[in-house]
Amino acid sequence: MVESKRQPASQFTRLAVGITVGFVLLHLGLHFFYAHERMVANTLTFAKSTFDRSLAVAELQLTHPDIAARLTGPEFSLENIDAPLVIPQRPWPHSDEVREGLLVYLDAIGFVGAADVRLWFGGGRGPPRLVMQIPIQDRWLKVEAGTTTTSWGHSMAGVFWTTMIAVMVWLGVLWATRRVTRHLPRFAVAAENLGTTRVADPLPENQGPREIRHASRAFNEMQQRVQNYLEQRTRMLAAFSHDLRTLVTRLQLRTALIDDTTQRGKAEQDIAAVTAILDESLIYARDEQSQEADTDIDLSSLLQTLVDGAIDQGHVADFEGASDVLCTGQPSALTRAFANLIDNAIHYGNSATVRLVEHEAHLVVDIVDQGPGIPARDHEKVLEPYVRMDASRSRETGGTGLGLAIVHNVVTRHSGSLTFHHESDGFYATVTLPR
Amino acid sequence: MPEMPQILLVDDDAEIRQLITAYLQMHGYEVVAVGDGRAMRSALGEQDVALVLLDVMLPGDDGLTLCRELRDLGNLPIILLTALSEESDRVVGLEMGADDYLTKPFSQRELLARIRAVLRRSQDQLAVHRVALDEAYGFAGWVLAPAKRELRNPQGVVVSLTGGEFDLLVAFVRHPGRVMNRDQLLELTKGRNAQPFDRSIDVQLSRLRKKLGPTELIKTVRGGGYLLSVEVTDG
Repeated sequence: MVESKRQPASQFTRLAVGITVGFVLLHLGLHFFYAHERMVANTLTFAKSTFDRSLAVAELQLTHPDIAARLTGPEFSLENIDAPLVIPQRPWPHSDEVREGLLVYLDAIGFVGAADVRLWFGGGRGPPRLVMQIPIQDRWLKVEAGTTTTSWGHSMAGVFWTTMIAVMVWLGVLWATRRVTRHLPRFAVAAENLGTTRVADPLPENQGPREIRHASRAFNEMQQRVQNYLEQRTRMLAAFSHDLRTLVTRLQLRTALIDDTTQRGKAEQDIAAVTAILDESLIYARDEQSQEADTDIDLSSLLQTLVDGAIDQGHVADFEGASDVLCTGQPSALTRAFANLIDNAIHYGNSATVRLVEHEAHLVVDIVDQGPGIPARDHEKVLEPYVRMDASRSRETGGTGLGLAIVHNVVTRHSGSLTFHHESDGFYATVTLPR
Repeated sequence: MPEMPQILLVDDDAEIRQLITAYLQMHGYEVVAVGDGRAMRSALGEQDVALVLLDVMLPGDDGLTLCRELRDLGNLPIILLTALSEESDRVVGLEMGADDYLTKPFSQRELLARIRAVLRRSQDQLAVHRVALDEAYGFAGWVLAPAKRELRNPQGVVVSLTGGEFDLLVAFVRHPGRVMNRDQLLELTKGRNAQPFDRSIDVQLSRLRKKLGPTELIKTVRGGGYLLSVEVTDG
């Protein structure tokens, strides 16, 4: 399966996108609905008043023509026609809606001949004009009335205020969503840190909704149990190691009493091997709980120093890489990790070439040796504690099965990786660290 | 014949006490061996002790507590016998005012060599300088903290040094403005962290100079001496 390279969005982002799209659609929908209603209502009101006005002015034309003449003009004209009006092909689309509204009104006031009332809005560019036909007894009155309003539906103030309200509610909902979803990342971080070095503060047990509080409490208890278990294991190993060390110290001191120098040398070798196992076990156990603080480290000087140390002990080692390459991490832990890899290279491959290469987002350290390396099928296995590639050979050469596990722990804790591969110029142990 | 110095050994394991006592006596030292802090205090009241060998894991007050107590009383040289060779354990021991440490198990030869080195240093006023918990030096923006065995550059980045390079730099910052020849540097730096494979002072000096960057902080003086040529401040 091909994994998507893009980071999946966070739950909050997804919700926020959904909520935002929903709000925009809802707001636009409500706005257009409202604008439409308002426009129809406005034009209907206009149509009603024009209708009433027309009847009144028509009446005046019979009784007081001079007054009626003053009440008409280009914006309001009355005309008697003999044949019914022909409604143009494409009047203003909502004309029929307005007409129906007007008919309800005419019905209510008991106007006779309402069925013959025709109207439409039109007039091309500029303010729409109302053209209406009103049947009066046996004739038809044609009314034309202009409006001055350019926008009957939209009111800028209305748009402004409804948008303001929508934005405020939208922000409120986002805030509430944030409050609910922000608890989850805390759980993720706490779970990641569980049982590792980065001592996680307990999750707050009195924040958020009830379910979150409950989960926090349960999580804290679990964290405490894991912590106790790890500490117990370290304490046990420490006690164990101390007792054995006392015995080994006695043995070491007693070797001075062995006269046979060959046997004395062998006894000292055995003691050194036992000590190495004790030390590494304790380092491994402690390392999981290492509380060393992160700091900026000159990785070049760290590697150079380890290589110099190896050279001083008579080994073949070499450092290739720029100076002053920085990374962030735990200096002692990283020193121990790289020292282990360099020791391995020298031990199994007779020499160590350490290469430091900078990439944009990460640093790569290759430790190359000329030995047989680790067969590909064991690459994963050797990172496990107490697993040896080849038990008989390891015992002969004094390995404890913890060296690479310690390296793996340290590197993983630094969000890096440890991998192995063969190339034409040797066996590579590659550590990748973020910058 | 000059009187041999008396050594006070504090270790809770009777066998170890016996073995060390026998070995040191064979080499002419007088040894008083006790099992805990209380016995240590009364022994100190009765005997004229030249050096204390102090186990870290003791019943009652542990070795680190006793070490600090001894240090508060005076300048008596102390060698800690620690359980684990891990850097942090050593650092804690040195912070508590020990002059040196030996990791168990240690060989008789090692023990004898360390005792001799510490006794010799305790007589050499130039070299007597124990690490204080908060001891730190600043020079040209760099900060050197002997207790933590840590060097930071002017940007606050940790720069790694080998044991020998570190001791060399400590020798320079503790004697600012003073010209030191190779023999003096050797005398100041050998002992605590000296490894049998350590390169010559010259190799270590050139590596140290490289790590301190392009400005030549350590100058070569005509006539075969070296000098840290910048001002050193405490803290």
